[in-house]
Amino acid sequence: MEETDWIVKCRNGDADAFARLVQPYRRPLFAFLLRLCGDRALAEDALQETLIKIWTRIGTFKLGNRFSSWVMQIAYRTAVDQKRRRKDGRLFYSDVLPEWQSPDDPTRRLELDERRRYMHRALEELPENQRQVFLLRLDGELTFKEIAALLGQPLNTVLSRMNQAVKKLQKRMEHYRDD
Amino acid sequence: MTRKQSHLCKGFHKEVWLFIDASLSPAQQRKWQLHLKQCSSCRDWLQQSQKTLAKYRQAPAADIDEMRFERMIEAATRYPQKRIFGQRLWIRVAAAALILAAMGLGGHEIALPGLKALLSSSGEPVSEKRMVDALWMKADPLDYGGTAIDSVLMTMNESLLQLEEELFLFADTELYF
Repeated sequence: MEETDWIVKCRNGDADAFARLVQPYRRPLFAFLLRLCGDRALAEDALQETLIKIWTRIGTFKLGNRFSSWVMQIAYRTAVDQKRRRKDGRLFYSDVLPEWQSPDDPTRRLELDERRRYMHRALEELPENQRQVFLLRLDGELTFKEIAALLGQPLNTVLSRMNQAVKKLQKRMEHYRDD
Repeated sequence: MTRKQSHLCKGFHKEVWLFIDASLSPAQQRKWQLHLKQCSSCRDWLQQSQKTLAKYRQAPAADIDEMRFERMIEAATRYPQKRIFGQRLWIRVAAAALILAAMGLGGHEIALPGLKALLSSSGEPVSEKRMVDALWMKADPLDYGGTAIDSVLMTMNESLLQLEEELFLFADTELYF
């Protein structure tokens, strides 16, 4: 069965179809929300809220559009709403490194852990508006046109922020290699 | 580097992400492919940018426990689904519009005598605004007495609350398209 078939079944209130539909999004959705919320508990709350919105609003999804984009946009809006409710929170900021399953090989584990820490630090150093575009593209996998529409920014501004973000990350990586 | 080449490079840098996404027109994609063949500087820059993205993607992402995720799915499906584009919305719109039209045309004079009598008993003049305020702000049908008024108020409240919720949701979700 294809994604569209699961969506149609979901619209008829089929909870099993919903589970099948959202299961592939477990990891990308959670990783995205964790980066947006910066805290595991907050990310889990946002994930629950996102799933509720997907389920309750599935009838509003236009068949033929990209379901993944729709899901990620709901997740983004949920994280923004959560931030608004918290008032003190900064979006796209993480005080803690995301947890992950370490591989068994110690050398590989060290290497991946170092890369993860390094990438995390490099992202933290980006200005918020650049990090926002970068994460929506890389983690949210939205197209630049979708990002521009979501943020209410001109496409050129979004593209320029992406350029700046990548340039800065690149520079940071060069510096890291020299360390 | 010639002036024309430099101009092309600037244009490429501006559109590089659309080029990577292949979301430019076929002609524009071909134009940049050709430019890349001729310009080593842009080629290097593109490679570096792609390497950076690849490194980011290789960095392990966080995950959530599968059982926990399943419990979340289960919890989500306990919520009632909203139906926006179905027949139900139009029935509600029509019902609400009819009630509002009836009020605007003085229908309340006939339909809501109990409410008017109640408001008049306070000694203040019963304006249309006061009637509407009473309907909206204090709309507990039992306070006003009478089965006819109960029924009208109940229908109106239900219809308009649902309408309000669904129109709000509609406006909200439109942004996702």
